[in-house]
Amino acid sequence: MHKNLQTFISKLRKLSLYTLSGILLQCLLFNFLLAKDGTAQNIYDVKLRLEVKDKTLKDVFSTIEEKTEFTFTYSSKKVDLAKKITLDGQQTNLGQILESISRQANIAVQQVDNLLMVKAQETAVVKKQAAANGVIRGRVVDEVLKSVLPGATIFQKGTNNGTTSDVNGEFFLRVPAGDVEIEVSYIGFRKYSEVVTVPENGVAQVELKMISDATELQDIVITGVLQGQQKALNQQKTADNIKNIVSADQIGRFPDPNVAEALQRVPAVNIERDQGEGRYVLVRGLAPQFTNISINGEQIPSPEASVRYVALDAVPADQLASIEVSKAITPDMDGDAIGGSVNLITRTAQTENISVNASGLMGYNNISGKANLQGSLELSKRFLNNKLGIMLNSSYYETERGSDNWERDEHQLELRDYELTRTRLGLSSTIDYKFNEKNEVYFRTLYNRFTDREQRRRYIFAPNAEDSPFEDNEIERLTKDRLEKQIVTSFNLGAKHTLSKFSLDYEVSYSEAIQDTPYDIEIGSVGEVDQLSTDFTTNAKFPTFTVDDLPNTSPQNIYLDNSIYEFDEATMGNTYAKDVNKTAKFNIGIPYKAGTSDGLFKFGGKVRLKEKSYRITENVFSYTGSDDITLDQYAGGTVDDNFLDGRYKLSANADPEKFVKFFNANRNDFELSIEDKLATEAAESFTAKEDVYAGYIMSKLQLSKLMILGGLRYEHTSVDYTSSNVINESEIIPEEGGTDYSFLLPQLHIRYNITDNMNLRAAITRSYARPNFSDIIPAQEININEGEGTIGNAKLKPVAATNVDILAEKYFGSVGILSGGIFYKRLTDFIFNRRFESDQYPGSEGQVIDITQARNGESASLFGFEVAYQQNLTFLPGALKGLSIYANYTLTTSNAKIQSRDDNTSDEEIRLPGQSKHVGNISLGYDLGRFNFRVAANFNGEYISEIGGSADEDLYVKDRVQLDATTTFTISPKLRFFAEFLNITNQPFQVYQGEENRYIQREFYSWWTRAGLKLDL
Amino acid sequence: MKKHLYILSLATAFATLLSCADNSLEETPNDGNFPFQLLLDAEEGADLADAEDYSVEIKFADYLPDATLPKNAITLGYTLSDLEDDMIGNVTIDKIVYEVEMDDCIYERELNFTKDTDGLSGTITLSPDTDLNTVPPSFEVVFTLPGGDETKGSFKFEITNLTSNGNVVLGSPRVFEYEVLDNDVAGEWEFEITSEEDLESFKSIFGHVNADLGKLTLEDITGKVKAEFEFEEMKFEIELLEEEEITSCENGETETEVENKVIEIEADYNAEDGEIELEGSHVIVNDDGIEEKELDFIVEGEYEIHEDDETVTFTFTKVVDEDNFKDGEELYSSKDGVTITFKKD
Repeated sequence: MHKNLQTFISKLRKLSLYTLSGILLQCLLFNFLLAKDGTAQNIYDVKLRLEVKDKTLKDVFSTIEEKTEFTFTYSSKKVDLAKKITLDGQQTNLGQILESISRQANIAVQQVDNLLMVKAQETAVVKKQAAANGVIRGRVVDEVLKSVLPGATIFQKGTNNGTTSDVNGEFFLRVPAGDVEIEVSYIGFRKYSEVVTVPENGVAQVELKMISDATELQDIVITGVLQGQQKALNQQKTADNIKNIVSADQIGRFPDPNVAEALQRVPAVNIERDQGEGRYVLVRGLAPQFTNISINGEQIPSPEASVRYVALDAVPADQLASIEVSKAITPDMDGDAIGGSVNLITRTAQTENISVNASGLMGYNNISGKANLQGSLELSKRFLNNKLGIMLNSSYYETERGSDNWERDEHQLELRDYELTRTRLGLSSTIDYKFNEKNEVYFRTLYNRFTDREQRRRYIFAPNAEDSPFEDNEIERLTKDRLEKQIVTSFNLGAKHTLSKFSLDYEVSYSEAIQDTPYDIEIGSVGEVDQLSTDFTTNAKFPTFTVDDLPNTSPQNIYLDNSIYEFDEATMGNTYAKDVNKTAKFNIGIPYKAGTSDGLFKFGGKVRLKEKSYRITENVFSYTGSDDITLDQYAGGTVDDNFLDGRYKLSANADPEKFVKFFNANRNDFELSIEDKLATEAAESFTAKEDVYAGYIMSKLQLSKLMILGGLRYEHTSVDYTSSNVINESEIIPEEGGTDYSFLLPQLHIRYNITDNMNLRAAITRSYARPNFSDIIPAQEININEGEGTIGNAKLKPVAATNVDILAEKYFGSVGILSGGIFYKRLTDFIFNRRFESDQYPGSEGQVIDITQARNGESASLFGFEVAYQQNLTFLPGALKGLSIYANYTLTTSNAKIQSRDDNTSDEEIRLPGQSKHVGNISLGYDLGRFNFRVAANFNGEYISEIGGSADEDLYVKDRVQLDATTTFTISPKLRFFAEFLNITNQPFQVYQGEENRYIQREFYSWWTRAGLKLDL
Repeated sequence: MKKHLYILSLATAFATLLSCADNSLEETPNDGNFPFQLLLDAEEGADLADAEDYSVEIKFADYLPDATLPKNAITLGYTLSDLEDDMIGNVTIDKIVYEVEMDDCIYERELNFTKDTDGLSGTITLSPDTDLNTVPPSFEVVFTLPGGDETKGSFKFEITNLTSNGNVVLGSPRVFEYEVLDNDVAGEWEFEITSEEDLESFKSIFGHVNADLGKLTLEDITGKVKAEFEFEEMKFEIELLEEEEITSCENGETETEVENKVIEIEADYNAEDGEIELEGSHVIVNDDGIEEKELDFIVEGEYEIHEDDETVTFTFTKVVDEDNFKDGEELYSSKDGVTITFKKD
């Protein structure tokens, strides 16, 4: 039955793959049909002679269109079509003809395939300005690709009055009423200026169309990759604070399927991986709980029960417009972000033409030998004369992965064979309505579902190393089968009002994060053997063992005989964690003048009400039937016959499906461990409420080249919780309590524009990080008999920090940056686990026991240096000009004082857990026409993952270099083919204890690939 | 038109993708239903040849604290089978009893049962107790045994079925096997401590696994030490001079007796071919009097039965526990050992 089902599923899977392949092929063919004219000739290669005298520009265009395959596009409002043109017939090709026309009509002509785009040249007209004020509201777009340009600098020419375009390319600028000339600059684009007539106390709406340097007449290849890079750098350059931007297009440069992996390319960011895929983000060497994760500026609740941070592998990268990593926060941002603040920005409809962006790809994972699939589809369009915008985005990713892993615990060797099926579904929408130039509302929704089905097969070889009469040589066989679903949903409803005296925006939002584990089954079996020994020294990288004097490589070894393993116990259960945020906030911005300088005074408030809960069901069953059952009776499923490259042999482990059938059929012969169930469920379950009230004031002032932004933020937090204390694993005492704390957070940012393309930045900020729920919720386990206990600490204070950042950045016109800076963080009330003796604990009758509890401790400090360089090396000669480089490096040192592990009465200094001394990326790319190739290496230095009972028990994650390659072929501006090859060198995840050659874990994932098409209509 | 075809194709492709992953279990475990399980307390047992009766407990397995035992009667079917030797025709159910505790007094009550004509099968009715308002959580089946000094044989008792209109099932074990206890050391023995040397010898072995025993002096004890070897389990009782009043109440009658206090050392044992091994656990108490941990211990030795004077001589040579077992680290180790002679009680 099971086999039949597997066959059916396999056929269904194949059918799906064929269907998908067919559809992708279909898309490809359609595109060739549509794009057959895309192989246009260069206009200088088109032979043409024209002789006309005093003909209108419009007539000349018509003549050229008749004689060639080219078509002109232009705005009749901006181009003077009546302009008389004369051509003497000396020009021998179309390019020369257009040059002559351009000079006579004061226009610029740009070739994009068979399109000739005509644009009026700048005119420098500044009329007299009126005394009253008005607002210019508009959008900056790429004229060719029609995409918006975020981070553009828009200045009222000749003044300090300026602003930058937001993520949707939109901006508003208060100016004196009348004719005003504004100038727009954008890295990689030509400067553009335009005169706008601004009504008194009114709004002038403009669309500023920029022309890329890379799309000049003779350089017609335009790729989204380059544009993504431009967008990111422009936003970074014009930001008020120190931040890094990863635009969605830029993510495409690297083979990063999820947000965490995209972020690993950012300077001073490293990631924690799970099964080879990036999951948690560490900014500037601080553990994940020190980084704030938001969607559209609003914090995402964490689906996981015990922590606040979010596993970013749940978020597909292609759902986003961009990712911002703020390394120094401003007063209008949440203050709980010591490491940094990561903001994920979803997309918005941009034009009245329906926009379709889609991708489809397939790949292969070497270790699982199975395919992976990914697809995305985004539709967006503006309706009702641009007033209503609707954007719908969906993406789906499915991968079947695995890993081969060994672990060590003293003399014990564990072999772990993982088989995983992961899916990511992302759905998001943005509906916005612009009533007029001054007022708009928006409604954003986001739904992410991440599922992780994991089958883990374990062999635990536990020798009786000390020859104890109380122990045996045991081999334990365990199979775990569990499904974990993480669902993040958010709804944001807000409005923006731009009035002549001030601007107002407000938003209410509801977000919910759920981690649902509907089933979690583990079946354990134990066998005893006469002789068992493990050897971790002869080959520290791949330890060996013998069973009954036969080596692990022997196919006759008795450990492969499933009949020697008796059923031990089965653990079945489920968990459900839910975290809900209800938020309301508002911001008011009031522009002001200080002498000749323009400033903005801003204030706002926010309320966030959080409810978090966790419940667990855990049932441990033993078998009481009359006949012993052995593993061979319920073994089955996949057997990895090349585990760790064949170094170890495996036989079939317990098949959960088979076992569950036996369990259900013989339910009466399984006895539940009531005491364990009650103790586990009571100790781990909790509910908590956390209310946050925040307010801020800030001011930004532009003094010629100097921008100063300063302000204060106040945040008050109130926490209530209910949980249980478990005494001696049997007595359960309900517990409830709460705590309050407040922070006043001054922030100061300075940006000095040394030149147009060079900034010097400095920031001094205060921030904090709330404790994890697992530390504050007193889910206490007290074992008086054993004289020890672990208790929560509801009075735990957040970690507070003073941060100093200095950064210099030089932007290159050829789209690039060189930046370097230093950062220093001084953390107080650092949280660490303290062990102490006390008779004050729940259930105490005066006995002194050893308590382990998270406590606020001494201070910690962190100092670092980061440098980043990226440039398209277009200045190189010949074919070399296609080279590009992307590199960054961060050096970080830290120390934290904790209670000495040798002497409870003194302190010792350690490195902060999670902090790598060296983190870096280097990537080389090569562009040749439509072809782009890139190889990228990500280096993550070693770091402490767990503090042990003594220094030589500390666990270190060993440094790791992952090498990836990606190639893109631009079939047409609408269609790109790409292929990716990840973890080429099969870099393992390695953990050692105390000293570098004492490995305690090595996990291998092998390599995986993806290839597919991206379509932009 | 082409654009619509695109969108349609892409939407179809996307829908195809969505249908790929299958994360459901073929069969869902029935682990959320917790029926009451009635089961036998043991799979096997034994008593001395002259035992005239023997009790087997039937009980409900541990159940969730918020669950209430059934309020309606439960009927159990049983059989007696595989009777051998002297057990044939001599084993039958005498009575079925349970205890109810009310107002610090224990009341023994009986359950109804039936026997078929051969007395080897029948039913037991587990009725709700009027005071408990539920069926009792456990009860004992009392068998009548032959009772002769030379009795031999064995039998099986099995709960064959259960009928109930509540959420009750028959758990495991369901079969109990009885046999006559026939190992060499089975029974009750007594040893008289008459000197400091005797006491120190005894303490040198068992003082390591009982902290109270280690503190005793000759003045603290009566000298009487009992050893009781039952089916797989044994215990030593060291009688102290100190007395205590013990008040008990059974079936409404209260009785107070003055008895000597005793120190008990319990262990599982294996005695075969002159070698004996005791295996139990002892509690480690720290200097503040707090019980720090519980460790398993093993006492190894030899024994010799002297049928002429009905004595047994134990020579204990080694005492180890989980923390002290390596060569040179034992709690006690001597080739000669400590020899103690017990008399048949």
